[in-house]
Amino acid sequence: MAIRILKNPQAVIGLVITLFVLSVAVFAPILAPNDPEQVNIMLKFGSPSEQYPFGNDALGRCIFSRLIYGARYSMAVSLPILIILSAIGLFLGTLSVCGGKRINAILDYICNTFIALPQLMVGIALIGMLGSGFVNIVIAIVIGMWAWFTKMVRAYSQVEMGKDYILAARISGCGKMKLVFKHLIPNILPQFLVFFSTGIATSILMVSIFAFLGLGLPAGTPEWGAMLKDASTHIYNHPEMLVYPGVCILVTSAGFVLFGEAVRDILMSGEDAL
Amino acid sequence: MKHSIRNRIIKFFLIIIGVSLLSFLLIAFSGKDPAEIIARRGDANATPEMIEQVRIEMGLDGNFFERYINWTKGFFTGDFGSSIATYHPISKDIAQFFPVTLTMVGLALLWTALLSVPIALLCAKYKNGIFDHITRGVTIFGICIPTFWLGYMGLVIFALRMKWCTVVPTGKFSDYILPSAVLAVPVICGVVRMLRATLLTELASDYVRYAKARGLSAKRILVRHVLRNAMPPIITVFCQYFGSLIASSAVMEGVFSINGIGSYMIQSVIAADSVATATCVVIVAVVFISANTLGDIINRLICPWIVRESNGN
Amino acid sequence: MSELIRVKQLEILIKQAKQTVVKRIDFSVDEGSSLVILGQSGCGKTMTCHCLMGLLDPKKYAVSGEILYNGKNLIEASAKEKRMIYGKEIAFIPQNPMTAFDPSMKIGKQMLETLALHSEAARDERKSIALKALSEAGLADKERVFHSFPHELSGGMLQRVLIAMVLMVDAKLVVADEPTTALDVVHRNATMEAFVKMREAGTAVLMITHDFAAALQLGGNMIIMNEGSIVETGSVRQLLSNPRHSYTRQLIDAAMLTSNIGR
Repeated sequence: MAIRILKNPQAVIGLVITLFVLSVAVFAPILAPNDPEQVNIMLKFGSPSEQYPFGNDALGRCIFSRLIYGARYSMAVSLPILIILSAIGLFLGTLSVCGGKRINAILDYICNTFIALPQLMVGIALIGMLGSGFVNIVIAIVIGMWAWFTKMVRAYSQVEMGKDYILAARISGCGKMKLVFKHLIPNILPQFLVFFSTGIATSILMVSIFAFLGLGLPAGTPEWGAMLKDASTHIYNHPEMLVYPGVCILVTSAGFVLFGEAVRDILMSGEDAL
Repeated sequence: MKHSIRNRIIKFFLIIIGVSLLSFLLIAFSGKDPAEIIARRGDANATPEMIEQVRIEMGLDGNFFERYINWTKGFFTGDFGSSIATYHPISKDIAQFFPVTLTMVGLALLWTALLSVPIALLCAKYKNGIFDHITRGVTIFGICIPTFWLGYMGLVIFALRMKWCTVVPTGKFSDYILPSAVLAVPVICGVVRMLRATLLTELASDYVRYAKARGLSAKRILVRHVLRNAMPPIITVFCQYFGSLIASSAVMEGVFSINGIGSYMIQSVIAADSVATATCVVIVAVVFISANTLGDIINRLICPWIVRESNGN
Repeated sequence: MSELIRVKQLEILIKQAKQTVVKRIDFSVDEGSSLVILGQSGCGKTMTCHCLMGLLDPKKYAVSGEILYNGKNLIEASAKEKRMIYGKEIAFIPQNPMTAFDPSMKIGKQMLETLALHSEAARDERKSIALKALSEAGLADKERVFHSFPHELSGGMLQRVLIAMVLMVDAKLVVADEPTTALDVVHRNATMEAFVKMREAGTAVLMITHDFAAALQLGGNMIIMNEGSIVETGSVRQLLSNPRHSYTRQLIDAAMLTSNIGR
């Protein structure tokens, strides 16, 4: 599997982008030439210079440093979201497949109800209720996305449960718990890698939309969506400031999607070979 | 068949009830007091007595269930009271804003239908050709594009540089062209990717081989046979996008200063107007679920052969 | 009897794997005769058959040699020329009747589509030609079959529709790719009888199979393939009663063993 990923150019490009963004996030304090929150009114809308490669924003802050720290915020919010989503999705998805008809029907109903709720409205209401802060953003996005994740895990588990090896394990007296942990979860794990990767892209987009609407992060946080919001007020005079954060969001989420989709292709072609 | 339709209808109403309860609950406990918001609008130093007065006037005094039941009556009388955000009757607001969103989303889907089918057909026909490679590269970035950012880029290019349109809408139908085009970009990319994959799976199937062996031309096989068989998933995806675009239109409406249902819903959430919010949410959810159900029904009507596959499960 | 099709030094290479799956084989089929190509799975017989029908994707496979049909090399023929021959003069019977038809189109429409391409008959006569072929293929309820979607018919019935599609166009040669594999015993016998009848009516039959019983039923000439090469040629009876090559003997022994266990 690992070798086939490295042989696939699309997967490699995706992997390089994601690793690049991750290392930018980790080493942001070293890479950033300036303090991202340092306000300097003298440098308002400053042009790019050696000290400020992308120039300065409306408050004279270094745009380049803010973009670098933006990677940190994106990853710091999206990774926990995906880990929580994975845990919920795997637990509820396998529970609904193995837990009998009634549990399956109830979970299906709850999932469909949550999917029908508009995510933005839920997010705004929840952040209104819980207040701003990282934890609350994570909660708001998890509540918006968990039903999709659970449904996906459930769909793949159902396919997997229909396969002969599960039947063989059942006949040989394998218990439910053992069946789920030793057979079902390891076998849907490659598919799960695909959701995980594309899920991060979705979550990055969601975080940026939230920040763009001014939800959840303290004012002045160097987050890409929030930077877009700040820049949008200067669209007439300094439209170029709108370009950078959008490109960052696009490239980062594309990196995860490229990787995820390539893994999906590899998995699909593997099935064809059988 | 009849049995499954009945079950569907029951499920539909159960979900609507769940959605309305959840949204009502969320707003009611969002920690904001609508009576206070209104009272402070008139007088920044409103006393608790004044706030209480407003609460009674607005019919906000009952407990949660009384308010919920009161609100559901609105679906039979058409009267939901007036909006805290706009002061207008809620039903009138929705009648005004919903068609705006519907037009924008409808146009976006029109662009999608016009563009994605020919692009996907070309990709499938010349698989691994230059066009196919470029399309695959572009679409993978396209599905990740933040639409609100693309919207600003559109404004910068078409309104500020080219002067083809204005940043603030003028009230003409042409206002919808740029927002709907921007909204369509990720949808087109998603549909092209899915359709291409479906077409390629179909092209590798036995019936295509047999059709070739009978001397049918490649073009005829692609258009008359393969495209027909790829229809059901396209219809499903189209209906899903219709529902989810309406639900997520708020951000685009904000970028283009369009007054649609999405921005109205956000205004209502911020004003802690649980009645207006829940009404919008229910309407959006009804459209969302109906669109999905409609997709299934269309598939069953125009593609009778898929009954076999769905019965197989 | 004159020669209908001759395959000369046919070689098929899978481009990506750089693997030769069919190695310089030669054979021919006379008008109104039959030829069985027999071998195990993976011996290259299906590949040969698809190559004969022009179904190999030139991006994936490199084909060299000649396939001469009435003196015309089909490998080098233009797409248009091929379309006039395939489906009209050379008809194909695919392996699995259940997946052979477009699931979204009624059987009748798919038959008419083929006729429109290959028959000189006027538009309004085509339906009666199709219905006649269906009843000749043993489908009594021809009107119902004509107006059915493929999923509404059984595998045995669809196999008869495939045969009707051959009868309908008056093909000179029918190429059948393991026609008995996906069928139960009853339908298998009926299918083989249909092939014998077709040959008696003057249509040459080329059958690819790994089924000795089917080969015996059809008779005529036979070639045994192994790992992409022809190991033995002769008449079916002669090869089965007096195999010379050790591989043929092995195949026969294995087949005898399984059929004995079956009893």
